[in-house]
Amino acid sequence: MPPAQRVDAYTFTGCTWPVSTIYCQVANDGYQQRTITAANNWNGLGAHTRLSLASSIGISTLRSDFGNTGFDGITYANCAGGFYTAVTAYYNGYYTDGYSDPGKVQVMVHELGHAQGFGHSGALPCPVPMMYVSSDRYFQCGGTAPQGDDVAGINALHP
Amino acid sequence: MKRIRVHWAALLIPLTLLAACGKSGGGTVVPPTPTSTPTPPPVSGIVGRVSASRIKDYSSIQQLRDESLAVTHITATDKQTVEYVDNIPFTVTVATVDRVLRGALVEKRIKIRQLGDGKTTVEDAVPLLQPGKAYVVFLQQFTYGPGKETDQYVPVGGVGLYLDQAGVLQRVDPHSSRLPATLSPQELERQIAG
Ligand SMILES: [Zn+2]
Repeated sequence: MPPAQRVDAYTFTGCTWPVSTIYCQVANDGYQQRTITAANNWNGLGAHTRLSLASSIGISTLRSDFGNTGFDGITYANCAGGFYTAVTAYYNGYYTDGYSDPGKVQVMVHELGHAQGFGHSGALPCPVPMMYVSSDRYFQCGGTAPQGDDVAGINALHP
Repeated sequence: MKRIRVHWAALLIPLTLLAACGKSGGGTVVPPTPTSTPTPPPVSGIVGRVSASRIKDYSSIQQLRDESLAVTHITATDKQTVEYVDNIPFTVTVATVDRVLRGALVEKRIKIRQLGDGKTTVEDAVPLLQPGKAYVVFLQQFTYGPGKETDQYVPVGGVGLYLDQAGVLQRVDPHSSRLPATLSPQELERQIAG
């Protein structure tokens, strides 16, 4: 008997960008190539939204150090009237400095999902969306780019 | 054809540019310190929201035990402070140590650090320690890395917390569904032995 169909059901934060081209500023802190890869992993979906790595800013990405608090990526967003006004997506270098390149990329793919308006979705066992709550999305499931549920979500966010 | 949609809130974006530029200008990251920092002033109409990626899922008491410095029974006091690293709020709660169930801990009062401040929305947050309530905590020393240890502690993975509810231990984090939802103190002691 085939396994039951998985329904992960993307979620949204209730806040998104009012434009379909979202500008990112990537800090020159040694992580920029992984961030560019993460942004391109979203941009390669053919969705009606794209993350532009031009000099204007909507999303800032950078490494910080939040210590061993249990989180390898954190996104802080300001929201007004249902729309983001500024978002900063952080690698927590305490953990991510020790990650492989794909390990770093998957953290920023997840954080850029939050930065576009996604909440968490999915449940183990694998496969899980990139918006799964923990880095088991990569360390257990191997995900580094948006999965079917994430793609459905971005198309719903910017139809 | 590519569609460009603009909303009134787009007008707010230029207002944010200077702040964002200042934050990451030149790519320099100021090393955080574990000292208290003042609460950023609220900006009318703008709501802050924190989302995060957990390092992993925890699936057993033994896994929490193996990553902990000590397993302790504590009672949270009402002494709580909020510290910020960049924009991110962390609550530091002073707790009295009732019993050390496993490991070495000599302090009778400890500071426990958790993500969030009770006001900012934190998606899928682990609830903060509540003053007056008793918990079992799987503790790690809080550190920013080798040589950057602090006098604070964190629950293992941010999730190593059980509320002692009249002798029944209840998992505090609703999302760590592979950890036992409840267990007795006897069962806990059996699982952390060895
Ligand atoms: Zn997240």
